[in-house]
Amino acid sequence: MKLLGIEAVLFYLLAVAAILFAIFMVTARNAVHSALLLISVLITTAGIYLLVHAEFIAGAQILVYVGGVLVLFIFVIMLVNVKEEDNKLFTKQFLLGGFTTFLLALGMICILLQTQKASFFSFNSPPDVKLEKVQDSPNISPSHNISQNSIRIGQELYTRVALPFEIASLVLLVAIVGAVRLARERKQEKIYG
Amino acid sequence: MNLIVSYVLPILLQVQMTPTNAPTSLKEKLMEGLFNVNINNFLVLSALLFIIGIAGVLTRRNIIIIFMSIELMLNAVNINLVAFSRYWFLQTRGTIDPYMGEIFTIFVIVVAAAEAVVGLGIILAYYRNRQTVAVDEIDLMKW
Amino acid sequence: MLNYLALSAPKWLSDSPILHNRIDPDVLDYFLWPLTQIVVLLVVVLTLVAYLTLAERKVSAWIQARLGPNRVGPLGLLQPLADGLKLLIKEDLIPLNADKIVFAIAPIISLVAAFVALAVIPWGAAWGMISNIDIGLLFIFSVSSVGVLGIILGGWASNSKYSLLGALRSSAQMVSYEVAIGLALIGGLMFTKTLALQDMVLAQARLHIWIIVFQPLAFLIYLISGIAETNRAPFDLPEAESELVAGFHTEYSGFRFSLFFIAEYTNIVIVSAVGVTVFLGGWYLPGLSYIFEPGSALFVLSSIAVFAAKTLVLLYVFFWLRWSVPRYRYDQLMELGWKWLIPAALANILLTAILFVIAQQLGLIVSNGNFLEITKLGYVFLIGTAFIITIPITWIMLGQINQRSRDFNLYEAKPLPMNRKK
Repeated sequence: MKLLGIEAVLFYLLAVAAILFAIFMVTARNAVHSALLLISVLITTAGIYLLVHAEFIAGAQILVYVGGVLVLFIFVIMLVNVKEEDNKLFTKQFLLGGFTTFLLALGMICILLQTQKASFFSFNSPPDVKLEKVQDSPNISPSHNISQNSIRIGQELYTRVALPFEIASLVLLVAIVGAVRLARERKQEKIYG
Repeated sequence: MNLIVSYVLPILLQVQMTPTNAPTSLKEKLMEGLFNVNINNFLVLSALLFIIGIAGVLTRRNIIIIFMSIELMLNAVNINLVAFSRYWFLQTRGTIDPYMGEIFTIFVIVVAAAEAVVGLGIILAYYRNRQTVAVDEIDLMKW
Repeated sequence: MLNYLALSAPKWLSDSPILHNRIDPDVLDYFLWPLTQIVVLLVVVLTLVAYLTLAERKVSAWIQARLGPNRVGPLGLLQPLADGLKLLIKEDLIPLNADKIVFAIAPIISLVAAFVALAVIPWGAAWGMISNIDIGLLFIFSVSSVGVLGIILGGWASNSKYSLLGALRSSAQMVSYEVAIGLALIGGLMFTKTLALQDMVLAQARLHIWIIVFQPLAFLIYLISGIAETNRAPFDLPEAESELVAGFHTEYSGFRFSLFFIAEYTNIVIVSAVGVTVFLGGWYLPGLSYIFEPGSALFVLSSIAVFAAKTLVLLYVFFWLRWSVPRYRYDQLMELGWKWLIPAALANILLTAILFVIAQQLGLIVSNGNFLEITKLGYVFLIGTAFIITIPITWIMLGQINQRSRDFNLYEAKPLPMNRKK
């Protein structure tokens, strides 16, 4: 897999933006700013998915995360975080946590160096096959030249991984019921019993 | 300048420099791939995001931000999955499970959504009882 | 990524004597031509949005037997210009204690989300659209779901109770009705078998039919949820003047307010355009390809005109409903969304799928690769069952279910059946 030219430049732009947004997100003072920065990270990640031709995942990522989960987060922040955080951003175990993170980072860097040394990843694969341009076809027929990503994923989802797919829907159902039960107030419980 | 371009940048950006017959003009450089992104770059990006997420989880005090850091970590994992999916698709010409990585990503997104919903429900319930979202003060097993 | 986002420039342009052999064809295809399209589209849509405000005032005046704006220019045609100028030279207020950064970003998020979605809508055949991406419909959904953030953040950053309440209401409403919209469109997707919007139009052209006759219920659900999604009357709870001053944009003034305003009207255009594309055949009009040769410039221009006409009809429906139906209460709004529209959309998907399979077993529908082929009897079967089976069954079922739920809500003192056992 190689990204060349403008795609590589886009990758670096998106990657640097994602990392910067992530750092700001973790250190943000205000929870809403944090959520906004996380949204930025997610959108830049969606851009990176587009670069590797995973269009469906990119769309699903923005739809589910940004449109659903993060809106929920902002809702809860508004309901919960009435007063400004009292100047203490970090826990008492800040140093311990930082040290653990540092160790994990070291370990990860070592692993990455190993993988890079191994010839496993470093051989040169040919660049991606360029898709042909969509001609303005005079006859009325759908253009086949566009990516088929969503069709393929749909086929896989409904054939080979149909059972995990069903289980995932069950997980979502349980989560919905659980969330309603957890977030319900006592007052409502008294009324409806 | 030349030194930076030829030695420092490649190490930082994990670029494989094209050997002796390097392209000359700027346009050629861009087109022929001075920046030559391969799977390693995706791994580095993913690792960095994951580490930032871990830092957030281990050090922040606001439980909602801890939750968001967990979402960030899951997102970092997703980058790996998608990149490897594409990598194997091209490497094997689509003979082995070319879309499994992307499909696993879908499941990760689904489970992350479910996790966020239940977690936020717990936070709301806890806040109603204790009026705090700081993990320092969540120290009772029962109240 | 870039090589399949763009459609190539039309032949008559690249072969024209001015450009021929003077410009690199790649530069023309990937840069100059899309840029031209984008500029033209933005100019047209912004003008359309400006004149939609005038049209809305004219339509409401006509419905209420008034004259409407008629002072500026002939028939008041320069009114949008005057309004825009007024908004531009107003003072840009930022409330005390407001979160300044978020306050400034929120309208931009709304506007960008609204404008990005315009890129994938098939305004016409062949070169009449900017990009035909594989995930077209999903793209529009995800981008418009980002638009919710602009509203909720704007309301939060204003540091005002009316704004916050309006924002909470608005985002809850939009998130709820997004589900209904998505489920309603799935019924249409079963017949087009693709998410790419241009291909959806072409699928309808191949079937020689508009999807609305197969999916009348889905279109109804889509229309209602689309009105709610864009926060229009009768679902304009987020900015209900009598309760919340102006909802989430109470504290906004001048240019920032106009950004929200443009975003809102652009969203209306998008909802209408997607409805036209999925249900009303997009630019496809039966017989159009007999008048003009398909692929010629005249054909594309006339297809754009057809699309515009259909979109304007839907936009008129939006204005018309605003003055015909009183505003819903908030619990009524949520009940309509969650207890009627979403279950109805689910039932529609289920029944359509069952009927589809039955028709396939009977040999009325043949799946041919990525297209459907429907026999004449198949058309009769699908249209008939849509009206005779799907709509009545859904109606009766939901009526029965919601009868009980109404008791559950209104008479809380009355013990429920499950509690009587205790």
